[in-house]
Amino acid sequence: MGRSKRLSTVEAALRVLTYLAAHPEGLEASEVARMLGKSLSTAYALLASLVAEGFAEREGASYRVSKTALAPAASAPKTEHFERLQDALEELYLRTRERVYLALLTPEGKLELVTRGRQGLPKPEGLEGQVKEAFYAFALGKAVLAFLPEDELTRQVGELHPRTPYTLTDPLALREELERVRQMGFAVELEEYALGLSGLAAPLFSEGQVIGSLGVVVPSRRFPYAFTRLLRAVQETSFPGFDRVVGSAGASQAVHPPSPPPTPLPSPAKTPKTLEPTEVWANESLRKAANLQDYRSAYRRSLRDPEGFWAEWAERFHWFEPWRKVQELNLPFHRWFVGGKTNLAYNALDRHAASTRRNQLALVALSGDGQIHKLTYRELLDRAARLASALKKLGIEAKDRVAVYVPTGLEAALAMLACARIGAVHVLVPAGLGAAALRERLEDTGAKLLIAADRAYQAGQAVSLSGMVEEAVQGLETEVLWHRRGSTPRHPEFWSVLEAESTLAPAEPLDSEHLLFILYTSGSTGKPKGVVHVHGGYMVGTTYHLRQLFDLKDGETLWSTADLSWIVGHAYGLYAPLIEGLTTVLCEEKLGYPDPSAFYGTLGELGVNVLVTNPSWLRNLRRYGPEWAAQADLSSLRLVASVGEYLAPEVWQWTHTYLKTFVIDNWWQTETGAPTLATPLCEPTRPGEVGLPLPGVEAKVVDAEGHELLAGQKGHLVLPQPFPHFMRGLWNNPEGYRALWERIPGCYATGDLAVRDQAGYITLLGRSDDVIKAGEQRIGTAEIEGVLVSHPAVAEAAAVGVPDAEQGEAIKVYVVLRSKEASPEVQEVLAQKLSAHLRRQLGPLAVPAEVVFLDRLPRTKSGKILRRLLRARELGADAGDLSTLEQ
Amino acid sequence: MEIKQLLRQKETFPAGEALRQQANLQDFAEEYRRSLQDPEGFWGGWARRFHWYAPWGKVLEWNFPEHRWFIGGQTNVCYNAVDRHAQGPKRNQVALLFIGEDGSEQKLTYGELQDRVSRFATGLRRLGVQTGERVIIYMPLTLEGCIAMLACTRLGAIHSVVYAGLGVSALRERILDTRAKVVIAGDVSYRRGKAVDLRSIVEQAVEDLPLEALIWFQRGTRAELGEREWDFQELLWSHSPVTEPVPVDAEHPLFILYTSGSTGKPKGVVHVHGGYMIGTTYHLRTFFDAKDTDVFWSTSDIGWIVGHSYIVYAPLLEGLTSVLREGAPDYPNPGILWQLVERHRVNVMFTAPTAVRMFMKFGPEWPSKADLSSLRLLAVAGEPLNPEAWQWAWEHLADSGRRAFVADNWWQTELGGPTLGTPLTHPAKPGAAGVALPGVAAAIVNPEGQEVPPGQGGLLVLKRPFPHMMRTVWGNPERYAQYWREIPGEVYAAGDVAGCDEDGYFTVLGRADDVLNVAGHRIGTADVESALVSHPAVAEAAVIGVPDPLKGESIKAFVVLRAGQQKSEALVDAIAAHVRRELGPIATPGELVILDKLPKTRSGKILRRLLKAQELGRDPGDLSTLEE
Repeated sequence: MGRSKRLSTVEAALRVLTYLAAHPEGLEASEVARMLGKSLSTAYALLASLVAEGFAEREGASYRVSKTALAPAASAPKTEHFERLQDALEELYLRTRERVYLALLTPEGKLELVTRGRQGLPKPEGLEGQVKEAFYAFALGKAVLAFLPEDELTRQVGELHPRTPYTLTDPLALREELERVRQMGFAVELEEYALGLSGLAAPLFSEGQVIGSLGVVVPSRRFPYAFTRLLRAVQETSFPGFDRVVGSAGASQAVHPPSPPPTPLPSPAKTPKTLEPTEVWANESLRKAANLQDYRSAYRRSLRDPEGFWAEWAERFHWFEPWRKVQELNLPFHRWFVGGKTNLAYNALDRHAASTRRNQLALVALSGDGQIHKLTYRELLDRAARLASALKKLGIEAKDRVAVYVPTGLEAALAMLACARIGAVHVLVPAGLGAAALRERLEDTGAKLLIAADRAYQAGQAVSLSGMVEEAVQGLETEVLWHRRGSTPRHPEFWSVLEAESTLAPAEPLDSEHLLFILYTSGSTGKPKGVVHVHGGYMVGTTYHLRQLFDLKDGETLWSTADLSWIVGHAYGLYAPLIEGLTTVLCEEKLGYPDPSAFYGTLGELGVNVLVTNPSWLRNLRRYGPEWAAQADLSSLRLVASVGEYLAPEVWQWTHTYLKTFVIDNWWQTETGAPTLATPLCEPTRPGEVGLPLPGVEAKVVDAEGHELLAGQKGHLVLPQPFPHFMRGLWNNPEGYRALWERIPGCYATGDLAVRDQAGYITLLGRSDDVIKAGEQRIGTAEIEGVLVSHPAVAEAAAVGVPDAEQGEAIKVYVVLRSKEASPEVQEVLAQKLSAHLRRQLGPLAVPAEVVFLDRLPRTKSGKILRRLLRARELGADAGDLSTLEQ
Repeated sequence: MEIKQLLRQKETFPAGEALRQQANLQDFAEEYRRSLQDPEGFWGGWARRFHWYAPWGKVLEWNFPEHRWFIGGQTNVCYNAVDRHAQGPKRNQVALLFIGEDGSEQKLTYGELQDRVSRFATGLRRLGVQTGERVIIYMPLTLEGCIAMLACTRLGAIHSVVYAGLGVSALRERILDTRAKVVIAGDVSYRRGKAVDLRSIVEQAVEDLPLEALIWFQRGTRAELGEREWDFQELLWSHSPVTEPVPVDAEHPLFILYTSGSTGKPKGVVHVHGGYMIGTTYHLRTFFDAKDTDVFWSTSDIGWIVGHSYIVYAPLLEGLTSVLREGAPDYPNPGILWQLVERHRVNVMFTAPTAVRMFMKFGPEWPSKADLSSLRLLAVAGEPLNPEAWQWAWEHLADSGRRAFVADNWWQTELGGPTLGTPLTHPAKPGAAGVALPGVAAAIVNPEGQEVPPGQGGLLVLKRPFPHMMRTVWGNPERYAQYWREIPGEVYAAGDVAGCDEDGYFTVLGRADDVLNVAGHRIGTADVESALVSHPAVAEAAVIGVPDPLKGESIKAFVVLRAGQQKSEALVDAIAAHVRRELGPIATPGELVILDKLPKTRSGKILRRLLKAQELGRDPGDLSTLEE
């Protein structure tokens, strides 16, 4: 534990040095803290020790690399001053009294190693004589690699194999590491070729060419303490011209660990096989055409200069009045584009209706009763402005709440746009949600008006909603505007009110922070919370990710299969595509009704370019089989984005193979408004891992006390900084909002468990309340489920923890088989096989106490598996608010 | 009104200042001058807007009377009209908006249109349709009709659209003349809320013909399909959108469209890919003044040249949104057109004088009830637009020039696009079609080919070809040459009587030959007469045009019965029904009179002149050759 703690401190100090080297203009401690993803006090501690060691200089509030500490490699003096390199090796040994190495690059591209040491000093296996491969796995090699010409480097690197858990096996990460070596002039390897050994090396030059390196290897436990001393020695012996005054000579107290050691969640016996990263790159043409070409620099910029970053994007839009300040932080509260006036609906409609997009389709709505509405921007503006005018006549003013209980389709979209237009706050409630839940939302928001449909269509059947609506509003002052689809007349009626209206209400200039909507989050975490988003930041953030992550181009069609009443529907079914002038598709009917050809047909007929859907539907597609996809016209489909829950690698691969598209897994929440973690097209994807924090997002995996964990350690996913499209609060519940920032100190706690790998990719392990504690082990339900669906017989799976006398909790899994006709005998055999499969993949503790076969899993309307319900059924307990349960 | 009176018309009406300033073509005089001085540079410059698989070597080869344009160039109109936009940011822009009489709407974006056209083209190819082959399209004004046309074009096949309102013999004659092996037909069209049967007309017309495929677009009852019969939708949806446009020579025929002549048999006017594309789009932009985001509504039908040029091809080639509406313009109410202009924010509307006269009859309250603020230009063509109708449109549809302009124009199937017209930048002279448009050298001559002084009537001729002018008459090059040889001086005889004033404004009065212009449709008297005599009870027939307040002209027929036939109301009705069946409703006589004998010359020719004079109470002139 101690070892890794201190090594991580060295690592952090090295990272800080790299940051400083990359910013000759100087960095402030707060910037360093943000880059590092650590607290300000950590940054101060690291910087202070770097200054004390003479590596950095402080000037006012900003820190720089000490002018004399690191000489840029390019200007490295020639080694001809040295009479014999052997002397340098000897010199280094005498100064360090550690195991030292001289590595010389042979013409064949191998490293010839010469060592000096004494008995008792470690001598790592493999580091003797000639080393020809895995240069990247030790400091001596890296110091050489970093200065090799590009073609030579490419030849050397070849395939990367892990030598120790610390070995870089990601080509990109290695490139970054080598860049760091170039900047710093030395290389560090925390586990030198072998566990428990660390190394440090500097390159040797002749005639400006790298000829080898000089370095030292010490036990990792001593490395942090010896670091400064060793580095000096290595630098001075490898650089004969190195003549500056050395700081405190015996600087053996390296940087001190500023915080108590973090305690990760215990790992399972073995890393699940399904999570082993296999990297998949998007094909060349996709990558070349990607809107975001350089994720890393965009990401760095977004954190270094969030104001400039987001302001630049915000310039795309119309602002009635410019903002004075981009960001005003008063955590947990935050405001963006302060003082600016805009209107999201104006940017979504008016702007395009007055442009060349006037006759472009804005929206295609496939109604459950078979009607297809195709509206151009001009038409959509016309209808929305009429409705807005009608709403005003019904007494709706800016800031009034308007609840919308209308199935996904044109009318719901119009209701949202009309509210936004006049500054009213819309509250979408999933059509079909029970009367009590609807009433609760009406009461909580104090909605003045409820726009409601009298029926919805599901699976070709009309489902009456009017009874629930009438029950919900009984005794409330809320008025109802009816979207009549049935035959019973109810007044006032949506379309007749709209069509009778000849005035087009203009879009009101609204403050950037004016409330756009309240959306209650799905009930997988208890009582629904009303998440609040605003016009300015939401518009800016959702569109950024539409273009940069979902990679939409002008003239393209986006189909987000999510219900409009879900956050994905808000952002990518309606607002972002309209704001960006694209064509969006809305569909009321269940995707698989009457069979999957309906779904595939829609994809082809509408020429959908990007599909945003959920893993559950992709699993369904996989279950239906590839023959449906083979018949479909998928020529337009370029990308599938999957959001909502864990996307198993098998499902990722299936989609990739049979829908012939690239798949972008992404993770976000109602609270975060838009994608937060994902893998952009320009980076390799690791199926099963959701990916990297997106620009604007700092994401950390921490223990319960907020201490950051190392790669590979499981913990809580937290976001220390808000971004423009991050929620502004919880409606009527400021304490609730504060609590989200207090559960883990200084951060917004997402409530999800995650693990970060070496390359920085994050894997979501499920809700923290979806963690099963079996004995000492905690295991995420997502892990178990991921393994289960990797079994060829399984279509879907859910795992829950049930009380167990011995272990505290035992695992119970619910499985939906691909083929429904499994006899009880077959089921019995399958249950055994699945248990064995789990044991193989996750270890003995992951073996379920019980395997239950179901026809389908209970889900929220947004497609999340309601494990809470399964567990409650198991325990005979109250399942809590099930208002978002899909019937 | 007599011609001199008309030509003396002095009052002019300029478009409002703001409208004129926004005109796409600002310096008409310079443009016109350049178009005649350097036609190759002029049209070559416009042609660069489009995609060419291979560039042309020479713009014009004029070898009287044949003219060829963009020699050596390879292109495809379908690629330029559909694919070019579907691959760019206009992919999701509405290309075609169909409106049914019942108010239903169907939209196809450029992307969807490409998909449908490519699918249907794949289907056609599967049925053996090849480049250069003729395909007859007998379809109501629907998206499917447009898809059928574009799919043929995509393959380089030559479509020949027959107005789905023409009768059995007209359709059969066209199938025979083109020697088409594939017919695409609708089963019904909808008009005034009723289904009009097309199926039986088609079935009779194709009887015993050696067709390879008959494709039915079925909206009525779905019939049992026979051998070599296909359902339109099934054919479309069962094929993949994999057929790419076939690069064709600029002079490759695009379509054959039949028009009536005085000599009986309709002439198949041939237009080609290259020049037609260039010329029709030029006038869309410079004469109809269409802007990129405009909604363009031509109230014609795909069965006519106006529909070919300004419902389908030019608006799509230029990436606009084109409106098509099936049914009667006054159904379900006389204001429906204006309600639709308001609903769809139509910017430019193209209609016929007969429609304007009809609106006039319904009264100004109908347009005034609608918001016409989007309407910028109302183009009218098809037959002479009388000054009263022009005035009415100016006042009630154009807000007296403040909001919109009324642009009269004159052209023919043979000419592909506007030829004479009043550009937005020119003051309108009611009754006058307008000036010669860029590329056009027009003159008024006497039968000997000598130009007559301004203010005098004569024959309208064109002195040189332009890119969108017909290339030939299908299967009848002599008939084509006749257009250019009828009047001495190597000029194209339009067949119209017209005059030109000192300002260069032309007034077209009517046909110089035995051709009637009924509601903008050219009908040969010979066609109607032969249909009449094909009735077993009729021995002889003569047809004249009489003025009609709405249609411009209506048909009056005189028949002599065969011996032994008794005059009766029922027989008159039966004969009229027979003509309707043979030629379709527009060619059906408005009045049918049974005479004992027809006035004839001594040489036996029917003296229609006398019949007409008697009818109109005019002086019949020299009757010396009349057989007593």
